[in-house]
Amino acid sequence: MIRKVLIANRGEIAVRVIRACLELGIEPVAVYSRGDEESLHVKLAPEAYCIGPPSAQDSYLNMQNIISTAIGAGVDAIHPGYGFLAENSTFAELCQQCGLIFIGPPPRAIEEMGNKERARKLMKKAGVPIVPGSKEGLEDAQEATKVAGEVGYPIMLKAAAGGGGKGMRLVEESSLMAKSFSLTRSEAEKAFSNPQIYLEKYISRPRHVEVQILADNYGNVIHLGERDCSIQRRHQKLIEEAPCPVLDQVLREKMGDAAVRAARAVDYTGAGTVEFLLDAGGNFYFMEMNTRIQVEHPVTEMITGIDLVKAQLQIAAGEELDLQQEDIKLEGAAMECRINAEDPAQNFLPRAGLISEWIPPGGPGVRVDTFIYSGYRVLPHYDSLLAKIITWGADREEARNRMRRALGEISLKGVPSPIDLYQIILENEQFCSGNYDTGFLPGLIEGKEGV
Amino acid sequence: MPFLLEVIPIKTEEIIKLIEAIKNSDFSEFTLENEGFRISLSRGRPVEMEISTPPGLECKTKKESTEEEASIEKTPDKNLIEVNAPMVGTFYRAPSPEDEPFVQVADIVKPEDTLCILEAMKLMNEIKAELSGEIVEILVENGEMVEYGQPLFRIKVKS
Repeated sequence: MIRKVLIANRGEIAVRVIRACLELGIEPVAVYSRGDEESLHVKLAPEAYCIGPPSAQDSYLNMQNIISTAIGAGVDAIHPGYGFLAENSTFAELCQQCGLIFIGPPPRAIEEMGNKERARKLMKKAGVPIVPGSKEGLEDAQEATKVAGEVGYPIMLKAAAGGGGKGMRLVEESSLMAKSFSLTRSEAEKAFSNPQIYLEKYISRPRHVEVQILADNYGNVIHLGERDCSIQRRHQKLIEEAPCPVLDQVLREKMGDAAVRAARAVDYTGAGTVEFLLDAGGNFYFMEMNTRIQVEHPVTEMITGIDLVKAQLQIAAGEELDLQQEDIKLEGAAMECRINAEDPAQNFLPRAGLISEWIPPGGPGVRVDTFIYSGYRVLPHYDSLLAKIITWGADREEARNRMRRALGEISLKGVPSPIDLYQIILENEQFCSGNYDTGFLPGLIEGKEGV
Repeated sequence: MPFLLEVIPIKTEEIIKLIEAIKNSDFSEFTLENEGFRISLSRGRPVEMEISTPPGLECKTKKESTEEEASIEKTPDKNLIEVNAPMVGTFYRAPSPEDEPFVQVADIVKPEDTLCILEAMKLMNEIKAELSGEIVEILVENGEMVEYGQPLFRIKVKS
């Protein structure tokens, strides 16, 4: 039984959770940093407590102050939202130790999915396809050539200690392996003081397709179809849609089954997302699992009619899922555009400032999840996400046209936003055809730069 | 506050022009509202002008007072200093229920004196005075939960 919930977050997701609580008759408790007093989540919650100065490290990431507030306010559970402490297993464990329900999976599931190497091994064991590759620490170019021959070219050589695009080299064919191997090895040595390298099959121009799952505490796990999040820039998603325009029912079920297996492998509970890379040949590979509610969750809510945040609260309260896999019906199509306070003309630089005017869109099939209003000051301390515009249509075409109409209704003054760029994307022939991949947006931006 | 520049201020000449225009019209009342200001004009009474700041410029919570508010509005006396909670926790005036409170109103304290305990995560954090002066007011009840930045004591420092 959950009667009162502390929302350890801010922004639109805090507002989203407060709304779900109020609809379920649960008392929401907001927390805020100094500087965030004017935020909508503080105004909407009947109870709100200041937990620290503006810096996230001292407020929204301050476990001690958040737990103390939760105990002082007498809540039963903590909803972490996304970001901040949502995927922090220490925090999840701390909640448990203090007799508070952490609204999310068990700490161990967070930990296992949070460790890339461990997650890969677990997935392999569970029969979830992973990007084929070698173990860490290839001996020499001979061994690399042998493994590459097995997984098939092109392959990517990667530094074991690497990250951020450093210590990576694409190898197109076996004749180039010897040279590439020694180059990558010395690069790895120099950049990370660790010469260990491994290789992975290179997936060219993949789509980012993720599957939403729900799991209760009694072993019931279902999936709610997929979302396509291939419109991204530097791994930041900008437009998401469901269903994925190129997925047929057979592949949908295959990916859905894989996502359910992934969740079962870590005894997952609550709402979660399994992210896959999907290549042009219909092969898909496990990327990672996000052990929390995601920004783009409304897209799934729009086509399934299921409230994912309410489901999170009900599962955490110990209720059994009253849905079976066959109850999940996907209806129509939905899209989401993220309205960030950033300037696409200046390399998407985030900008804080006073919102002098905000007129959100409305009308049929339009949902707006936001925490801003005219007169709200965007703070420089946090994420630049201001609002999410979600549209639903009987088909993709209707959802797309609605999105164009909805974006056209917006009046946002005081901070820059990518709305104009979205209009260009929504009219783009390739986007309209549905035949795009993660290379689409970078290509579009590069192509426009000369103009 | 560079953000202030984003609110376009109305010029004095413009206000005068506006008043002239209203004077020559049949209106008995006129109100103009825009970002950052509001002007109300009415006939028969002296011209009234009201300028309000946009909501974003006020930075305080309705629920609890912040440091700024405390020092500006509640303690005009510069010698009155508020001691604020450095963390969220449960406020205790004494080391244990059987003990005497650390301080009472009218006590004189030194910087190293403990004023209270804030219990957070089962840890007892002693809050020191950090200044010399007289306890004028204790703003929180024993056992109450306090939020970050909440005023706990008012101390009058000797000038």
